[in-house]
Amino acid sequence: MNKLFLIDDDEDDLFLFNDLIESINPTLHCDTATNGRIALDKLKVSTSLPDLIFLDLNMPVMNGFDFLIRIKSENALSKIPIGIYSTSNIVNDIELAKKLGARFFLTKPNDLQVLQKKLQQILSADFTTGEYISIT
Amino acid sequence: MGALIRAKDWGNTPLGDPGTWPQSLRTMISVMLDNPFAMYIAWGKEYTQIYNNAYRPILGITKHPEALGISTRETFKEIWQIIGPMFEGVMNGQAVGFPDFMLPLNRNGFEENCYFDFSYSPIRKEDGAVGGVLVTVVETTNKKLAEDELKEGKEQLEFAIEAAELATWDYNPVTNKFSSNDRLKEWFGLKDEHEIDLQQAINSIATKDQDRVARAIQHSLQYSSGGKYDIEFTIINPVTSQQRIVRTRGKAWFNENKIRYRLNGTVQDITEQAVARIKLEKNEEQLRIALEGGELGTFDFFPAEGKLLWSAKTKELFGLPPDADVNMEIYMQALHPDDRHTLQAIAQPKIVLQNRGLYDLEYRTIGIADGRLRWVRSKGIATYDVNDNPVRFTGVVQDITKRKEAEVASKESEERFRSLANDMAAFVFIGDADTNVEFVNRQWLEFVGLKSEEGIGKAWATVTHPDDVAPMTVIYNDAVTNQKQYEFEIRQQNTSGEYCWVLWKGVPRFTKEGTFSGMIGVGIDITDRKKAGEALHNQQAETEKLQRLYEAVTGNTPDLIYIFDLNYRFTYANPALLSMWGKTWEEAIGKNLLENGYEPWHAGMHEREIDEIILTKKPIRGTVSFPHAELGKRTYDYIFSPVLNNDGSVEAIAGTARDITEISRAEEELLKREQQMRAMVETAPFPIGVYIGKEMTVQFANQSILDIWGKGNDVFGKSFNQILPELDYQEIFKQLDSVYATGIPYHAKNQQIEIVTDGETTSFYFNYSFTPLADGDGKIYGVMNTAADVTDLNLAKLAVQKSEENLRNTILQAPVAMCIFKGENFIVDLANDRMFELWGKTASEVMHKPIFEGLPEAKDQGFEAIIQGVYTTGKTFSADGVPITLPRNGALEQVYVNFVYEPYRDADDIISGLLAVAIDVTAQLTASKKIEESEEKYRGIFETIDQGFCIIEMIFDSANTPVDYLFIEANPKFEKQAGTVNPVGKTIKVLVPNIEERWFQIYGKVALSGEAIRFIDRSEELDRWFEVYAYRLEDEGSNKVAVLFTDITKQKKSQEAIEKMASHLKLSTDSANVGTWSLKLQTQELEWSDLHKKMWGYDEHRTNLNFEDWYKLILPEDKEKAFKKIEEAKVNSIVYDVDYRIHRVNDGALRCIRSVGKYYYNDKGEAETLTGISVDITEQKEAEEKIAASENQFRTFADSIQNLAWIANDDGKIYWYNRQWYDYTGKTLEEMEGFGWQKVHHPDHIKNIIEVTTELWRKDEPFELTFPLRRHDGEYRWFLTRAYPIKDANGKIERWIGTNTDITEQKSFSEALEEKVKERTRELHEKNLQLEHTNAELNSFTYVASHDLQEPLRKIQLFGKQILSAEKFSGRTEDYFNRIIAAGERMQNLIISLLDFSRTSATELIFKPCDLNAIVDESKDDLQLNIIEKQAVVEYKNLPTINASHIQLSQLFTNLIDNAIKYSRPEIKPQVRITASIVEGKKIEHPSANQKDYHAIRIADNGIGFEKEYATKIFEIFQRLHGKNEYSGTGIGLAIVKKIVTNHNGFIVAEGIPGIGSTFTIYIPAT
Repeated sequence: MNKLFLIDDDEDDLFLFNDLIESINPTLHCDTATNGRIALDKLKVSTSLPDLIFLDLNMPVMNGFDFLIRIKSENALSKIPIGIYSTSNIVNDIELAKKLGARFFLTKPNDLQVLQKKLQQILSADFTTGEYISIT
Repeated sequence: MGALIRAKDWGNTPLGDPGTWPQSLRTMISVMLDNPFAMYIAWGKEYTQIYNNAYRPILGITKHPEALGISTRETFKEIWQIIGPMFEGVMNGQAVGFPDFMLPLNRNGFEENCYFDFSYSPIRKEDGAVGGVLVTVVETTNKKLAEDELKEGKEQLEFAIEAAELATWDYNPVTNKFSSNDRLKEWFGLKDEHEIDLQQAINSIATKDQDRVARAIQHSLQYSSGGKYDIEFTIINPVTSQQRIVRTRGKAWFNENKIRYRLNGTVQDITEQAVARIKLEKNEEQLRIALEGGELGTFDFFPAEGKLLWSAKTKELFGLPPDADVNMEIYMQALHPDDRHTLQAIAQPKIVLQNRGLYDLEYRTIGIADGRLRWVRSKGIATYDVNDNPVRFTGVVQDITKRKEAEVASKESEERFRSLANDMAAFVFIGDADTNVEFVNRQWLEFVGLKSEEGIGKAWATVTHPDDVAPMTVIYNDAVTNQKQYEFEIRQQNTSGEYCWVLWKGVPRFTKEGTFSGMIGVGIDITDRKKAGEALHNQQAETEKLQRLYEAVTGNTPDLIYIFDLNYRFTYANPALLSMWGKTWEEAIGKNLLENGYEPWHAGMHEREIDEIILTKKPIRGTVSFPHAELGKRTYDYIFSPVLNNDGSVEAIAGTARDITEISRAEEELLKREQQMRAMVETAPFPIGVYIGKEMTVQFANQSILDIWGKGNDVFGKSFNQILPELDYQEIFKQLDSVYATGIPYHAKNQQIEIVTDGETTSFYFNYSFTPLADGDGKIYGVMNTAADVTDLNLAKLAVQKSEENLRNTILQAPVAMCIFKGENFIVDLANDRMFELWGKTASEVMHKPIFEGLPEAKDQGFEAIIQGVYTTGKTFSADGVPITLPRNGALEQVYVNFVYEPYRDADDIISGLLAVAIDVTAQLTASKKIEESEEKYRGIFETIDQGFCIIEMIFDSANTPVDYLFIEANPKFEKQAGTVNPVGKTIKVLVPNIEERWFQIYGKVALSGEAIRFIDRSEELDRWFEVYAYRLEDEGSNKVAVLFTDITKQKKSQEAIEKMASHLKLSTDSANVGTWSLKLQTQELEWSDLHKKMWGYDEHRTNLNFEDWYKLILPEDKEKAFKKIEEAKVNSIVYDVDYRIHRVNDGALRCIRSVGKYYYNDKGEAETLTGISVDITEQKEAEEKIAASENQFRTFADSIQNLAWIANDDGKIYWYNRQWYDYTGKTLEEMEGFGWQKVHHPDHIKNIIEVTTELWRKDEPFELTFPLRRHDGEYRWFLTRAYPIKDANGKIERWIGTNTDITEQKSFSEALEEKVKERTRELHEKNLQLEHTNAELNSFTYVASHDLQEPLRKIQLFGKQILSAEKFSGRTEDYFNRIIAAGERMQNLIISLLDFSRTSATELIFKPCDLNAIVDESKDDLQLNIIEKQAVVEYKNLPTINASHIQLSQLFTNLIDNAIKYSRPEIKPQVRITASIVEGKKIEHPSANQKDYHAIRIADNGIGFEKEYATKIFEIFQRLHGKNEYSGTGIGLAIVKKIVTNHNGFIVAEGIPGIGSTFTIYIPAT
């Protein structure tokens, strides 16, 4: 796991997420984009693709669900594992994300320590099997 | 002669000087000299002769004038030995006379035999002694010669008659006697009597001919008929029973007064000719039957002359009248354009030739005159000359239109049926005889929800309501078993599962033979209609009752009752009127006056009257005469009255008429008679009076009768005896009474009548008549009196009478009949005995009486005028041979008299009477009459015989070889028979220069040998065939030959025609596959044409067929019917035409045969042969049956459906409707034809319908329309019309089939429903829009709440916590931070709860069975941390599985358990107990408990409880019972719980006791 890509329009979350990743593994690089459209454009021209994408759902221009759909049609990008990182804990959202190929669903917690613990679990998970990962 | 006598020197004769002659001699001489008859006087012993002019011819050229004054002895010395003794006898007073007395006189230089009728009478002198002889002579020599000559001619004629084998006859219509020659007697079987009654001869004529002959005789005896009599009949000899067919010809003879007096003629035996002719007719008839039976026409075409001959039937097939001229151009023109080209190609001689001259074509013709399309089959044969050029085409044509149409019709009929069945708004099924379903229509398939007909039988049982299956099955099976109709109403389930009431009606189908072939069933959904139908039925019954009542009145009156609509059309006519028209209701109703046969003036009159009534609203009465269909001209008294509708306007005109013909006719008759009478009376120049009734009331009297009566106009109306009482004793009244009583007119002449005028009696002489007046029935109603005043004439009769001279003596002595009539009445003053003899009277009977009184027999024979003429003019009148009927020996006889009337003058030379001299020449004239008659007879026969008759004189050359002959005599028929004109006096070589030599030789041989010859030969030169009989006239050495001959060219030609016809017959019958046959009834021998034998499967060479060979092949079940008809044909002598089936003898195949035939009878009327034709019609029959079955199926079905149905042409012209259409509209087929359907449409819709349909007909797609149609009672009902096009093979529309379904009820119902649904839909739509709007807003709010509102709160907590962990604050600051974080947390929980609540909606819920035990477990898991923290115990037991939303129930239990744990008492460990049970809804005291059973689920805790007043409040949102720090909670949890329960159609009840605990009970329906 060398490279992450976080797609989120919330500046605070981008800041906290990067802080936290750095505190967990300083070598891990994390690219960001503030909506699906920008992320897609970036990825298309990128020379080195991320190992895992964290995707927020509620975003302007292109939201998370749309992005999930679009990236599946890009052959070069469709294999990148994507997980949801959102404030939503609505069952319908979780089910839909699963259907569209998300590998986990991480509801943004109110406590950084909780978040740190959960991120550690994700980063140590095995994405090669293609299975959905439940976060505890 | 007088001068000669006066010049004679009498002194030298024995008579001496005339002055010395005795008076009697002188008187006699004067009488003699004036007499036109030959007379002479021989006076004295020397018989000295004195004679008159008439006598001179008898003396010839040698005896006169020497005879005058010399002795008879000298003059007639050559016969003196004969007459001398007679003279002596006369001198002794003996008169003598002889008729036709032969004396050999020498008076012209030679001796000749002369004949005389003569009488010698004595002339007496004054002293009574005989002084001389008066000789009266009529020479009869010429008559005698003529008689002899005639005798000879008669013998010749009789020989001719004999030779011609003619019978002759002679009938006297006056005596009704009939005479004939021996041949006729032999033929007629008459006895050898001279004369018989005509009836005796007629009795020998065949009964069938007797009337006809009698009529012909009577006809010829009418002068106007011309007297011609020519008739053929059969005689049957009563003795030998031999029959002869004879032709008899004759002529009736009439005298100058047009009175018939004889009818004579000849009879010719034409049996052989007639038999030949009958045979020809039979053959003709057979051909005709063959041709007509096979529907065949014939044709002949001669290409060289371009001549085309067609029979009438052929012309008909080409649409031409029988008398039309035809040629090839017409033929080509009549061909269907599409066939013309092919036909021309096929008919090429070469192609035909390849086929051995035979050809057989089928093509279409378009009728030249009638434009009809017909299919024609033409079979023929062509003959060719050596160069293979066609000489003649001959053959037959046959109408095969029916067959061709049948092929198309069969297909169409089936198609038509299917389309109608599928198109109509009803269910249809067709079952076979074993109740299997053969067909169901589309509607039924749709109704039961099947896609094809498979398994349809089973579907029936499944869709029918279980309760209805059994009764229905009973009815249906019964109908099938008994082959009758059925009807039942059952409930049947449609594809949506609803039961509908369906009325099924079924009719049995039968094949043409009557075999039951199954049921047609038609069902209609009557769910809606059931009720309406009942009401309608009641109404109809009431109407019909009224109608019957009305009909009972109008139907039985003899008066005419009728109703017009405002367009002058009859809308009603009672039976009396219909009978007057001679029409049926259907023919007359709906028609106007003109159409019902009223004459234009009559129709116009009534139309004007109707117009007037519409305007005035007042009735009109009148009288009119017009023709009645049965009774002729009738007069009617009629009243037209307006029929007013509710608003007071005229809606119809009712009329009644009463027949007053008899009354008005009587009136007219009376008036007419009166007018006639008056005119006649007024204009008559003589007196006329008319007296009426028994009282003899004077009705009319003209001026001249009034003058006689001396009365004025006041006589009218008075009785006759009132006016002229003085006539009573004069018997006049009696005469009038008698005329009135008996009807016999009374005439009186010169009647003396005394009439009192102004008190004075005056004598009048009248000729008057009383004539009865009779009315039309012959009843006497009065007397007409006509009169002529002859008073003056009578007075003038007092005339002078003259004395008579002594001439009387001489007259009395005269040897001829003489007499004197005196005065105007010609009173017999003097008459001698000879005259009495002539009159046949004695002296006392006639003397001194007017001649016609004494001799009434002589009256009215024309003498009155003659003698009156002589008396008036003074001119002598003489006549010879005048016939007069006079009494002889007690009877009347016709005698012939020569007579002279001379005026008889008195001394003053005034005519006072007449001197009449008469000689009875009856005997003499009877002889000459006989000659004439005989001549007439001869001429009659000569002229009337049908054969040519001539007498020729042969001319021989020196070698006695016949070289020519001369016609001496020829009868009128000669020219016709021989074909040469005016032959008499010419030789045959002049008439026919190239006549064949053999004729001379034949006749020459007859002349030379005297042997008669009979032969048949042909003259090429005359182009005629003759049947000749020639015989020599007179004796050997005579060159005269009589030739009797008949032109038999026609017979010969007809013989040829028969032969030709026979071959023609064979050709035509063979080519039409018509077999001919003939059965001899006596021998049962059967003659069959070869084709006929083949048709029946016999070998065509077989010859010994008999009746049994025919009879045995016919199917037994067909025999009886066929032979019944054949027997009828025998009895009625008609052509029979029957169909029967046979098993063909060679292969047993079943064939249908059409047999047409006729009996032929012998002269006794017995059937002899049965002859006719047979045609194999198996194929035709099969085709017909197929069509009939299909058509039958279609019609039965169409008539049995409830809907109206119709079929239209491609342009919408409807030509067929089913029975229901007529029942509904009350119209007839005639009214409906073509565009008649427009009549029943509503006027408001018709324009639109026509526009729409005109467009629709053009498209070839099925369509639907709804429109109202007028029912027979005038009500308009709405119909759904479906029309379906039927297309031909090319896709072109041929016709439309349509149905109309009454949708009036559905329409009004569905219109209302539609309106309501529209309304609701609109409302709903609006609400939906609102809701959608609200939902959208809510969604966006939820969205904002779930994401954007939470986000800052999460950051507050996140960063707050981060600060607390990273920095060290004072205790207070730290507390503040913790409060900030807690507040954020609460806010976030609040938002999450609100979101939960908003998502807990009823929408999008998925109900499925949920095990509550599992759900509670899940909730416990969710709440594990709390449970552990508070050491809570959650118990549950035997919870049910209910149909619910899993997610929501999970939420429900989580909230409730969480609640119980949250609100626990601090000192006690929380305990939660969950139980469940089923509770009846009615036992629950809750307003929402409306279901039967509920699951009651209780969640009980031992928590803080609550006050009772809060039991409902706690479920309200944001309702908290406690401070937020005391117990954590958002105040939404229980609101969510309540909402979830409500979503599950349940309710929740909370019970609590503060400090003890709470129980929440959830009730959810247990279904």
